[in-house]
Amino acid sequence: MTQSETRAASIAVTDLTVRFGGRVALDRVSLDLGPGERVSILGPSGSGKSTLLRCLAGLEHPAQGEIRIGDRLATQGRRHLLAPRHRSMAMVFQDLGLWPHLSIGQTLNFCARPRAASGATRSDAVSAMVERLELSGRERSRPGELSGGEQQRLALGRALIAEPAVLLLDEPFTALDLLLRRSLIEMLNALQRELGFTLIQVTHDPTEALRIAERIVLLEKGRIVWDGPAQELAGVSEGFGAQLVQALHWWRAESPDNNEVSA
Amino acid sequence: MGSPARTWRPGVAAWLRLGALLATGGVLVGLPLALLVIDPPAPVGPASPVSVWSAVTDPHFRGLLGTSLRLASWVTIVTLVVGVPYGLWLAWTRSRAATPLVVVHLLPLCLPPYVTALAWSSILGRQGLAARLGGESVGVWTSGWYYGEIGVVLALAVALTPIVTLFTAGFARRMDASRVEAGLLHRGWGATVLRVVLPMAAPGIGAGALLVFVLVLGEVAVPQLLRVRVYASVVFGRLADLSFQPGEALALALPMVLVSGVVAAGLYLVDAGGRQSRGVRAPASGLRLPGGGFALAMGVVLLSSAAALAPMAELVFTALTGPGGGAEGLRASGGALSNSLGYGAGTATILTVGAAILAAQWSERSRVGGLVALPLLLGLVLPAGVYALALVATWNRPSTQWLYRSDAIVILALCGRYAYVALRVVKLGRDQSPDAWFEAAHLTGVGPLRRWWTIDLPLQLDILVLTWLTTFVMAIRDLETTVLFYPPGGESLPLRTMTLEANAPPGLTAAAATLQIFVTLATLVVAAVLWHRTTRRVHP
Amino acid sequence: MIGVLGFALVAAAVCDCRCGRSRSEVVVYTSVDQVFSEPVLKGFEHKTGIRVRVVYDTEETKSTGILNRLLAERKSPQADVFWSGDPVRSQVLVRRGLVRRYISAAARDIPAQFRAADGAWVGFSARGRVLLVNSKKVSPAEQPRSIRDLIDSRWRGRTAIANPAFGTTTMHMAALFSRWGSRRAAAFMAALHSNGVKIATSNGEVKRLVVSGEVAWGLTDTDDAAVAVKSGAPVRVVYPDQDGMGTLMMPTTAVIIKGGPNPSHAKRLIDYLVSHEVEQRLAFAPCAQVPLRQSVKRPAHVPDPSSLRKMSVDYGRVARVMEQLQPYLRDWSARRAGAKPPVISPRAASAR
Repeated sequence: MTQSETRAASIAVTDLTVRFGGRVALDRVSLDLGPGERVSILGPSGSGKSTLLRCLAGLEHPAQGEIRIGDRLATQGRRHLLAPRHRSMAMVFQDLGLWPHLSIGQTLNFCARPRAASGATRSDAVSAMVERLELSGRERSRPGELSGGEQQRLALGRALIAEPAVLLLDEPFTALDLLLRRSLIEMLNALQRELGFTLIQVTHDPTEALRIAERIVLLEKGRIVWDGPAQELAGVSEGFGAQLVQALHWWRAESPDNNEVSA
Repeated sequence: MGSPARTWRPGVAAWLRLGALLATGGVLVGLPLALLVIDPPAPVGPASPVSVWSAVTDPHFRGLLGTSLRLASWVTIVTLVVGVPYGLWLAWTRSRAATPLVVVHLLPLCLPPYVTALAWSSILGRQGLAARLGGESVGVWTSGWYYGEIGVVLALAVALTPIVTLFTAGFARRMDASRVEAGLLHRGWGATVLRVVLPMAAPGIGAGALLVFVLVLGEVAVPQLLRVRVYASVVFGRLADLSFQPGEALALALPMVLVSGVVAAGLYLVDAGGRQSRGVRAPASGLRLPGGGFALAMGVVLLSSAAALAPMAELVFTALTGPGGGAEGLRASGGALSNSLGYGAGTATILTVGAAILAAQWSERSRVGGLVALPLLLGLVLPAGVYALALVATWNRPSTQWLYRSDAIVILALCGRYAYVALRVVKLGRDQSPDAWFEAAHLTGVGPLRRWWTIDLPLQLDILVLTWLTTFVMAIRDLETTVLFYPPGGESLPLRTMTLEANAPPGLTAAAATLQIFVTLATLVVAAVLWHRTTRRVHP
Repeated sequence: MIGVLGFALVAAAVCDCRCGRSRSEVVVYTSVDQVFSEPVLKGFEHKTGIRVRVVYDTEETKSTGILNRLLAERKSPQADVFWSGDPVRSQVLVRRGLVRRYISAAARDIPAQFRAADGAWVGFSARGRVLLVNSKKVSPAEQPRSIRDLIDSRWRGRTAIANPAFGTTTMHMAALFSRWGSRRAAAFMAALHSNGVKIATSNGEVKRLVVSGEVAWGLTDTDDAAVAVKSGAPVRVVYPDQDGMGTLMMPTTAVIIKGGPNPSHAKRLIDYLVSHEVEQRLAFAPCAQVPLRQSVKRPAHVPDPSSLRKMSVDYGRVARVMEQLQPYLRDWSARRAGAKPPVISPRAASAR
């Protein structure tokens, strides 16, 4: 199998600017990611982090700037040179976007098609993925019949069965309880280690970012304000990053005794 | 293996479709209107600027314009009083009875208003149910006020209230439940509805009211049946009676075209406003009205159901038992029924296919799309007679006889009139579907055709069928658009109902109307079931 | 775009089958009420095997405007025959040069007053303008005998006519102007107002007012009167001015449209419409129209055309007067002060 060669891709974003009407959502953002890197883009709501993710996927049209995936130019200014489906990227959406009319098996089968043309290899891939997601025996269930955690796993499986080079996560875990979140993040990390794809996650929750990423990018008002290894986040001393670090300390030190907050 | 490095320009496809949409509007509405002015269909009477001015300022016409505006205002007020509470109830109810009640409520909207007026006259007319129950003097009394402005307001309000209901319900349903609940934590239901709900739903309610207003202004058949002289019927009188004056008619029609233009612009703005609140998808359907509010809403709902159903029932009864009616009467209108079905199916199929192709882009780029669809919106709100005359001016020439002499001219006219409805319904379906469904499919790497077949089409199938049914009902209810040029022998059911009304035995006329009622009701029931399924799937 | 394509396909298909049919069909526009004209045209289909395609008009909804449609289509006519419920609408087409002349052999025995010598139009089966009297309110002795009784103070506020701005009442007024001249006719019209004559919205409404007894009698058409008689209401029909200028008769008329798609079938249809068979059928129909030939069989309640004194009118002139008169009649019905009639000199039709 040659998949490991294509499984991870480097990404280079140069001077990316996105405008919605008069509002600037992303302001000359530049970012380089190595193959297989795990990155969290951290920022308050409205900072443009989801927009950045959607630009990478080719779902949004920037006003200017460039996006390269591997050695290919994917986006140049307003033009997408690579269609979303040719970017070898997958995405887990915030509200999941599971197709209500397709069962688990049908969903995975549909998405596996580009990688596995023959029916036999495809059904092998599907059953492997179903097992991996701990959804065995539920292949015929539709999204409406699944629990919240099962829906999350299906969304993850749908993204990964195509063996993408890059996985994009748009805050998919925010609405889940702590235990479920932990099990999903562990599953995700295991899959990443095994498959080696580049992972870009968008979140406003620093604890989640630290659990998933090795590198953290802070985004505020459409600009990158800090970019560095996850373990150095604690050392940020100014701006949004500093506030974030302070808040993190506060949580760790005080939250167990603070009834007001935990109420 | 990586995918081939293909250049992908979604912009081109999108602009192409928007261009096609603009071209459709141009051919169906813009071109005919332009030709009507440049190359009118008959020798134009004295239509110098002076005569135009004198026609418009003539006190006689001003008086008629006053009547028309008064009627339109009253109908709008009544539709608001009934439609807004009904719409709020509909948006928030979880009652199982909602679906059948809504079908009954929508029935008059889906019938020609003329049929509703006819149905009411079978109760309030001189020989109507009221007279049979209460004696001749009761009939004289009821017909005395029904055949007049009150009757016009009654019939058109029954026919058009569902528009306000639908617009109100649409906006109220899109409202975030927590906003309403936050209001309820501080104030009672009354204050919350007045200060929170109504202002938030105002664009929808306003749009519905505007549409009702302009439809009443353009209505000809109902005032004529009830013997009220209105501005629109004078305009068409100038086209029809012996004082044939197309130039003057055009001049007189100008104020109505202007009003239609203003209304079209207003609807476009409301649409733009509605777009901004699109992010919120939490359905407010968990809200429960308190006892008093519930009683009020139920009162309105039941009253309007009775107003829709009772006269229809009497009309059906007349059709089955009245002179000229029965099986023979129903059979006599069979030809008109099959004509109607043909026109309806043709129109609905073309519009559904067209809208499915064009509306996707229209939905995604609504700001431009709204402007591009403006000609089609104008086609919907123009007075039918003016639009019809414009089509005559455009297509009745020797080189286009192949079209003008066939049933296709009727379908063309109906497409021009109802294309906007098709776009709206498809867009409504799109708005109900999360973008992530389609975006996730986009990212899979599966080819566009398979993607369309496996994801896009099944997800939209219900809404496409719904579009078909809606445009079908609109097409078979149309009366005034095609009356000027329907092919000889190709009269539709509403036309037959109207032409029979002169001197035919009541059972025969009622039979034609009854066929219309049954076809419409059947279509509505199927549509309601489908709609139920679609919305349940999206918000399980 | 695909929509447009689909459109073209449907259009082509439909056009195909229409054109295929056109060899054995004839297209009729008629302002005769559908309920009366449809059986007649079906009769023609049975007899000849020629398919008749019809566009109907109604009295109540003038916006359907058959006449307008004919005028609008003048560039490429769609109709072969226009069968008018009255004699003046045909005249409008004759004057605008839209008709094709045809002298039907079948119409030879129709009185010359009711057809054009040059074959431009032909009249048959007529309606009359009659007085419908409520027999509970009016004894036979005091029964009105003339339309001039409308302005007799004896009947002040107890009579009705339809709005003269529309329908057959317009024609009636035009006939009076044509016959009496504008001075005498306008004085008559002013007296209608001052004598409190009720202005109903239509002839049907006049009938309803008389039947219910809201007025003692009114001026209406024979078909409306016949419906009232048939319903068993307490009414009598009076043919007015039998000892004076005669009753105004309005034959239905037919013309062939110049440039229509099926000219030879149009002639066959005209031959059929003016036949004894159709006059008889319309005499026995609920509209109880008066045949113009004495030889045609008729029911008891339809008068003998030869014993009836008919008002002598030149329908072409009446049509012209009608167009001149329209603004005045609108003003009159709106009771606008200073409404001025056009100058029309009195003239009886040349003795034909």
